[in-house]
Amino acid sequence: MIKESFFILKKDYKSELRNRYSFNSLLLFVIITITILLFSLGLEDISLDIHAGLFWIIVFFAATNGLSRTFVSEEERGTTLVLKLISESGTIFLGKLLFNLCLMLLLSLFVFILYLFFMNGFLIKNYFLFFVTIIFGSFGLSSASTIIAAIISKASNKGTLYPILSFPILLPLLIILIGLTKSSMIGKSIINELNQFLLIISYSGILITVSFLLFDFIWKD
Amino acid sequence: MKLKYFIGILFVLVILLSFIPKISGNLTDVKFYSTIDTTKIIPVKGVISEISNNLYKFIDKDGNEGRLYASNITNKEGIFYLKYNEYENYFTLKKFENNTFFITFPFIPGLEEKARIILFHVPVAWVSVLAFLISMFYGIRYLKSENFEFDVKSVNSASLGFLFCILATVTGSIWARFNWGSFWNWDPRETSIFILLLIYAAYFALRSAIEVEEKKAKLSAVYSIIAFVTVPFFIFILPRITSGLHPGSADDVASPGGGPVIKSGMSFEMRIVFFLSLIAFTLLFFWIFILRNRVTELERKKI
Amino acid sequence: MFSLLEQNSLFVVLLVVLIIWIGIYYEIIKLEKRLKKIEKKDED
Repeated sequence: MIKESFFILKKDYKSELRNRYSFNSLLLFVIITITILLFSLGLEDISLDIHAGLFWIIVFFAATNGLSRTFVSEEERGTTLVLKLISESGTIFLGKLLFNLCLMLLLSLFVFILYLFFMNGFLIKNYFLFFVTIIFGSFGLSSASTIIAAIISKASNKGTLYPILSFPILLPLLIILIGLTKSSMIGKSIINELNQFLLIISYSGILITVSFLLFDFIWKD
Repeated sequence: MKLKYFIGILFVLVILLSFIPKISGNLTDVKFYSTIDTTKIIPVKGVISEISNNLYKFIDKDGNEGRLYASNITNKEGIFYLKYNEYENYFTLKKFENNTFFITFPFIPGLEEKARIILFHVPVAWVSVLAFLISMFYGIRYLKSENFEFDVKSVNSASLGFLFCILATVTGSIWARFNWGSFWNWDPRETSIFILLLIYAAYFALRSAIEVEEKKAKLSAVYSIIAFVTVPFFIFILPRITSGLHPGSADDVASPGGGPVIKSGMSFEMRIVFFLSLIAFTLLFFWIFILRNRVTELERKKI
Repeated sequence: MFSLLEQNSLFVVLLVVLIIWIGIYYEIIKLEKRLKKIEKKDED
């Protein structure tokens, strides 16, 4: 099953390379958001807490744009039926999950690079903790988003429904991630924050398990 | 006896039992709180016997003994409002109340009279969790059998759970205003209940976004399962491991990581009244749930 | 009103119980209205 999910990942990756639609819109979204922030802040200095919050707000809303596309694009292109015939539902779920994970990682790194260049006052003292946070954060955010994306792909008002459904479920993750980012900026060591990472893993783990079991019901019409 | 009359009687009993008993700590509480807050006056139920002029021997309800220094005492038994004088090792009487009811509620720090809120605010919150559990249960049954009756029950339970959750949040906010100063503080438990409200508001948004009945039922069943998986985390785990204002948080002095309900903060009598209140609210929930199911089924058949 | 409530803590508990009661009562009245609508439809 795992090999087949890598095939699905590759297929999505290749179709993304072909038309680059979601990739481009994500980049544009991040650039525009950071520009707006720069204009509104001007030369003012803002505290580290706000920086941590802003970083994850940008990541989250950009993700809202891109993550739902994994299933919605299948519906729009009409390839859902083909997918259903090719492989079993578990494989498809894993493949989409892996794709979302990679997308989230790239997105967070991209936001990080832009943020570092353009925002002043964004100083990180513990880079190791910060990058581990990004990895765990992408893992957590993508885990909940995949199943929600599957649910709304069958609904009608897909655009506005996705943030409504995913935001409450992702909020505790965001709170933990913002706290961890703050700690990495202050310079705390990773050992103090181990139980936060445990929380992220357990929360995402439960969500992935339940989503995996429930995906069958959504996928089979 | 019919269920609704039993519920009515039970509720009257719970309300009487929660308002009539007076609050009484014991002498150990008075000594303990005199070290923390010197202005606190703590009620203690007990009996006195005179030793000499204005000096009495005081025995409280738990059997602790102490010396009481007071003038103008008329009754030998009742609720004595005491302060502790550490240097001279006696208690002074600030106020006296006649108590004729045999039960008293314990003195919970920071709450005193408001402790009775536990008997209403907590059961409402627990019944809301129960309602969400039932919503998930019927969601699972719908996914297995595709019988629309289960979807009806799932929505009704979720709606009632949402109502009880709103009630718990509003009453909690009122409590917060009188205990911690403002209506909303973004304490971990307040944040958790807010997120829970958002999660189930999203459930109803999802249902209204789908037109086809079968799809609506299937997708909302799936979402109700996902939503309930997060509920134990929000209600039972997160507020207990993070530090905050609400009782039972990680830095609560009296009962860290548990709260008065789970740990020992309540006396035996109060626990009984709490249990009665929990049963009353659970039965009330089931009654409204069954009524709602009947009305929804009638509506579906007529249309 | 708040100063009155702060002095007599018992009234805070009363307010809480009142709010719970109003919420539940409102729900029951909504149900009755729905039932009445169905019964009216039956007669028509």
